[in-house]
Amino acid sequence: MSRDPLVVGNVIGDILDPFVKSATLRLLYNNKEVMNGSELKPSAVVNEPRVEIRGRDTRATLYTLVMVDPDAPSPSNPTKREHLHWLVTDIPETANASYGNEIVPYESPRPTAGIHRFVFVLFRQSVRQTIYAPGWRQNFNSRDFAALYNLGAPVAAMYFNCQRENGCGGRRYL
Amino acid sequence: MWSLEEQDRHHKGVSSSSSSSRCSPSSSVLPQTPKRRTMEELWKDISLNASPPPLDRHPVYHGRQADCFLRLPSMVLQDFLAGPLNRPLYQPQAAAKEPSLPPLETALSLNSAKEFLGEADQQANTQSNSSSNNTNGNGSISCDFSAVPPRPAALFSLCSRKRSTTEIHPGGADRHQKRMIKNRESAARSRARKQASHAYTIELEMEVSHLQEENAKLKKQNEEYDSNSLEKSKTENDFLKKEAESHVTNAEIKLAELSTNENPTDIEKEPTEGSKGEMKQGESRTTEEQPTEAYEAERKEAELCEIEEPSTELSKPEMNATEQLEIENQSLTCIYKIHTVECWRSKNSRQFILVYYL
Repeated sequence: MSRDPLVVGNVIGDILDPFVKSATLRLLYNNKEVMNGSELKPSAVVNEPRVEIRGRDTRATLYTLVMVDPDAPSPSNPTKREHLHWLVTDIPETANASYGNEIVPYESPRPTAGIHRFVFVLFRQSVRQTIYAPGWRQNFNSRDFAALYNLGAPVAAMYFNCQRENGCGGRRYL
Repeated sequence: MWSLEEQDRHHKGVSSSSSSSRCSPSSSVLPQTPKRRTMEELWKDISLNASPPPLDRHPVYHGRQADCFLRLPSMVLQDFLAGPLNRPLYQPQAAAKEPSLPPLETALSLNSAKEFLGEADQQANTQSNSSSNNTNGNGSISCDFSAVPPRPAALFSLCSRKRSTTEIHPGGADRHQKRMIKNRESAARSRARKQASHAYTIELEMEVSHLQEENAKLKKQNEEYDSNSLEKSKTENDFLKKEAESHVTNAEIKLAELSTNENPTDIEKEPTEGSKGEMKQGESRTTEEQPTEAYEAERKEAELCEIEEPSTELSKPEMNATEQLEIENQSLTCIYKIHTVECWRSKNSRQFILVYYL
């Protein structure tokens, strides 16, 4: 039985393939660290988080961070999986994401139906490469993205849950 | 929805098992075929129920399966578990496909038509797969359940609780089914969420305990190291102190010795050979010692005295006492400046006294 929150929460499987963690990724919204699998309110994640990356080698390695919502528009009907919320490349180690290249600007999570997972995936870049923004945010595929830009397996991942601020928004009929 | 025709074709034809391809959410009602009548006959023969519900139930069929089902008191548990198609509930007459299907199924269950069973098994496997996928995956495959009816043996063979409850509302009660499926999925997701957070806390706890152990270990190491070094430094300190003390005592002793040696030279004015030798020895000794300030002063005095004496010794015996005294006086006035005093006699038998100042 795997105890990894990523596996239990089905992040590995739905969005990512199993990988070996080789960097520490810390996300801080309003100076509060996000715990893997915890729940946050949309009001807490309005602005982009502060990112702290610590890898094995302290040379000038660059990282790419992807933030997706695999449960768009709703977890029981994720037809728009995955919805891309943020894409930053060329983040230097131990520096904030603001030092990187924001390819796709941060979009505040605003789940309307159900409890969505919001997944951060960190890739290590071998070289400083130009990554092009996709034409649209929805139906993004992290696996394909990584394959396309030769990013390899992710080095770290993290997710949190988020639902509507007030109530469930009413029952949705089939 | 399947019509009986299609079902027959399916049974007898290719056994492609992709249920999704057959899934058609449209509930088009296909016309009755002559085969139905035979099934109806079969049904009548085989019917387990003495009093099947009347025709008027039919219009209610599409939306109220559950109601019809529940109202019927004569339902036996086995019938219930056998699946909707085996329900003796449905009268196999109207235009609906569903009522016609149960007869087929009951025929299946009761007779030993091997081909049916054989092919149905395949379908059973596929259906079991699809249903299991369905409960785990997203709701887009929910249309599979509308295709449930045409898989009779599956229901018969796999009498699982899950499937029986889903098959309560076949065909027309899609909404109910779908609702249930979605509820199931939602429950599974919330269980996963709960497990994930639980797993995370467990991981954190493990790390905390690990760090605490490390901390304790390091603290212990630190203390040991500290105490060790303290002791070491203490012992070193003591040793050095003792050494210093010994040095000091040695110096004191030597000083005392020196002072005792020097005193006799001060007193004597005309030293004998032996005493001179002693003085010289004392001088040599003094020069060897590491001088302190006071000591140096003493030494100089001693030197001076010695200088005086040798000078008197060196001087020719012809020197009379007055001259000697003069020399002494002269030397005594500049006590710290005289280095040496020499007496010379020239060829003219003149005496010269040379006093060297520092």
